[in-house]
Amino acid sequence: MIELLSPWGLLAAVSIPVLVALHSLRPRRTDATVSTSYLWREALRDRQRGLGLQRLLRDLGLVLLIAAAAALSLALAQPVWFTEAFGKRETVLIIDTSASMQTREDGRTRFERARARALSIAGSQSDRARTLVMTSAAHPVLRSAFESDRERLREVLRALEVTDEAGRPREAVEAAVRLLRDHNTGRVVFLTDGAFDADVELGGRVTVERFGEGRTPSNVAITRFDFRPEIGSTERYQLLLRLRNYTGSPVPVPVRVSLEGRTLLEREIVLAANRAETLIVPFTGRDAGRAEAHIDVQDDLAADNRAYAVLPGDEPLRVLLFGAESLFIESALAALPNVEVHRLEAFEADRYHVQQLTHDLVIFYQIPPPELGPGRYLLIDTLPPGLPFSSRGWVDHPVITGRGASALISGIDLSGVKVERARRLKLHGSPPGLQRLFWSAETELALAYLEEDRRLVYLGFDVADSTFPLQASFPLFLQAALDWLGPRSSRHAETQVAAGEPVSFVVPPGGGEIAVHTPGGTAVLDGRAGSTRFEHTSKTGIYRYEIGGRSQYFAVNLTDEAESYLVGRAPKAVPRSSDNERNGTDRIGLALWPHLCVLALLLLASEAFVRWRAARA
Amino acid sequence: MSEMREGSVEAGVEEAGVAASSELFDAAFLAKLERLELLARRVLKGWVRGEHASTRRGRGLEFADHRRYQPGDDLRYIDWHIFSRLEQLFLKLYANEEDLTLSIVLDASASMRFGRPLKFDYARQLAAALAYIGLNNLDRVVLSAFNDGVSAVLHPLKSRAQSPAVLSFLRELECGGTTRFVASMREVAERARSPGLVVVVSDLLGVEGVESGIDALRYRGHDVVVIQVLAEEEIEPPLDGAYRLLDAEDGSAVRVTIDRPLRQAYAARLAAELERMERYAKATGIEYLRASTAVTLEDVVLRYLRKGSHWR
Repeated sequence: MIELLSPWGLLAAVSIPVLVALHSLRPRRTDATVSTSYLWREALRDRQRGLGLQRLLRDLGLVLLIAAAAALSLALAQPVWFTEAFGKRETVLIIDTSASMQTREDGRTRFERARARALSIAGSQSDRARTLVMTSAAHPVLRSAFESDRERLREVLRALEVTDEAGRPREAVEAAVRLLRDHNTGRVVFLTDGAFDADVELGGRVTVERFGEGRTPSNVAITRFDFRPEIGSTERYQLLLRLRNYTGSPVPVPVRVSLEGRTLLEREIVLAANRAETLIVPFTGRDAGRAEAHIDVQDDLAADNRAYAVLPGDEPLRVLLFGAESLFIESALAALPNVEVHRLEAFEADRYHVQQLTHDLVIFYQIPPPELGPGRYLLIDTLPPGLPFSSRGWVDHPVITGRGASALISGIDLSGVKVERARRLKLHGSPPGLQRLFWSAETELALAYLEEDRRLVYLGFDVADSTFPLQASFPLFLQAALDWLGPRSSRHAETQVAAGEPVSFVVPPGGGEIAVHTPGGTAVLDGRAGSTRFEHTSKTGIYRYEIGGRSQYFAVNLTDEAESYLVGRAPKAVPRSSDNERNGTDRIGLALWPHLCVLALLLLASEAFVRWRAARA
Repeated sequence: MSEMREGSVEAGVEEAGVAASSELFDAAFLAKLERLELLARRVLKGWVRGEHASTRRGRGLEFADHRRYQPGDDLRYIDWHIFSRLEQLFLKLYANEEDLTLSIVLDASASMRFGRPLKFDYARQLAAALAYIGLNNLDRVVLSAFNDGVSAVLHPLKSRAQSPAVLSFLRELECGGTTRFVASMREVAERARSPGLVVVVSDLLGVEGVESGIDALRYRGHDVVVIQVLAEEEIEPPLDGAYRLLDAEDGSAVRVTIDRPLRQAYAARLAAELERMERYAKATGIEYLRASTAVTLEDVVLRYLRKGSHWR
């Protein structure tokens, strides 16, 4: 776009009609008598017939003069050609891919509009500018490095997809500002609908372009979906469903909740304008499986019309016990709820890997284990190599003289415990993951040790040669040890996550790949490290994964009251530097007057040449 | 119409020489006439004066040809000898024997007042020369001038002693007015008592109906010679720049800026006009001479005389 910095300069264009007038002032004609004017009339007619180009050339001098005058007039007006190119500066483009960007208005979603704008910005980028593309939903994601290749940027932008995640732009904006290496010229362009609670400082280098300003959106959403056992009952449960009407008028909402195909709730609720309602529905029966809540409404955002939940079954803790038959240990384990014990008399190294994969926990009782790999272990009166402590003989009749503050033995009475003989341990330094549980004056009697992918509880004496199994504290100690070692609690905690939030998987020792079946496909994770995180939860739905031979599920939901509120409410950021930036564009101005002056000189030279040629003719 | 002036050409020349010396027919011109007359004698050597055999068949004494009898023909000319042999009617045709009437028709329109020397002066001198030669050749000479009609006529002269009258007539002619060529030629044709040789001296520029006018002469049985007199300034106009060109005859004006391209266009148009006239002359069999005022009078007369065998 061309703007004139001194429009008054155009007044010089009055020279053009003056030139034309001067050109029209022909020299005074001389009267001359001829015998007949007939021949001259005919000659004139012949000459003018079919002389279009020649006629133009005849007036070429005037045309060139007019063009030169026009060029000079324009030069005086100081035209500047502004382009939306981004010059040399760095730009971070943040595209909001949160769920509210799915809102469809006039046939296009807010996200599609934002992406089109991003493509426009990337397309107008100058060759020397560099742009980085980032998306913002639950977390910021870098989609490209600083790129000067416009086609590459377009590819990146075209590949973007909107998510079901709640938007939290603060991280993205802060990260974008930090990514700018030159804070004087760099800038951040945030393309969003503004449908988030502003906890981020916008303005400054951050330009916000908002989409979805056209009309008031209409939305009804499920903002919470959960299950819980009823207090005082093991067979009765409650489902909790919270609905919210974001429109300005009451909306009848048909609601249906099912659990593994069994309908738990089906009714129509009239939600008052701009109000929320929480439904708590008791039910009895099986409490495990996949549940789905659905509201049948036609609104602007579909992602929050469904919610999912996974109620995990009470999976038993699978314990593999290597050792001779031990009444005390086996009976104590059997007394613990939901624990399955599989005892093997002998340790076979070639089968150990498979055996460990199919169990949650391995107990070595007096059988010397190999060097322990990743996994969870309870070691009773045996000590493998490769630990930060080792055995140095035996101690007879050690007396418990101290106990640690670990939760493993919290509330456990050790006062009646007498030990016949215990291994004398030597600690190698002070390893950071080591917890002393209880000890005698001569040696450590019980330890807990935690590494990144390996945790174990060590008892340094044979429980059969002690009074510990006879104490009420022994099963409590075992329960605490299994809880601390086992992954059961974490499994239960991660059956439901918000879209965009990662899910952590604890992999059994020696576990390999984990296949995660998402609504959009299958992802494979490397679980050899013992635990891993799955981060591709951008779409709501039920996700299935297979780990340790078991299929398990987790649910991904939007259920975010702020995200379902589709009205843009973030402040419109006003760039501080210039009007151009206030317009959301970054313009580079190129002064055209020097070029116009050169053009005028060329035209004048051409006119002189034409005149010289005419004079020679 | 001008009066006839009597007297010999020489005397007339002498008499008129005083008046004409500074004008049209000065002593130098009269001397030139003498030279032209001598030149004509050489060219016309062998002619029988006053006995021009006409190409027209008529009632002369010399048998020319036969033709078949047509109803209405004069029965006196039937060749009965042929009828007795062939029993078919044929007429005997005789060549007419008559004196040649030389009509010199001079353009006296305003357009002739152009050039240096004036086309009109040049034309008058040329007419004088032709008349002088004609009179010396014992031809019957008629002089007339035309512009918008026949404006002056000098009655037939037959004696070389009448040459001063020719000069006087020509001297007193004035040019002006527009050219009505067709009407003028028709009038000339109608005035002639018998067919003869008509010499039209004109610039023919911007003249409408040249062909029609000459056809009017031809259709009356005249042999026609057209001498187109052009000023050198008309052939190569010495004009450059902005002009308001005034037509000498109708006074109309043309605003032009004369440059080389326009001069080229003018020359092309003039050439086209001359070529058109040449084509017409060739098609109709008339004699067509073109004379620039820059060409000497002798050259033109000589060309004229050489063409003369055609109509003799």
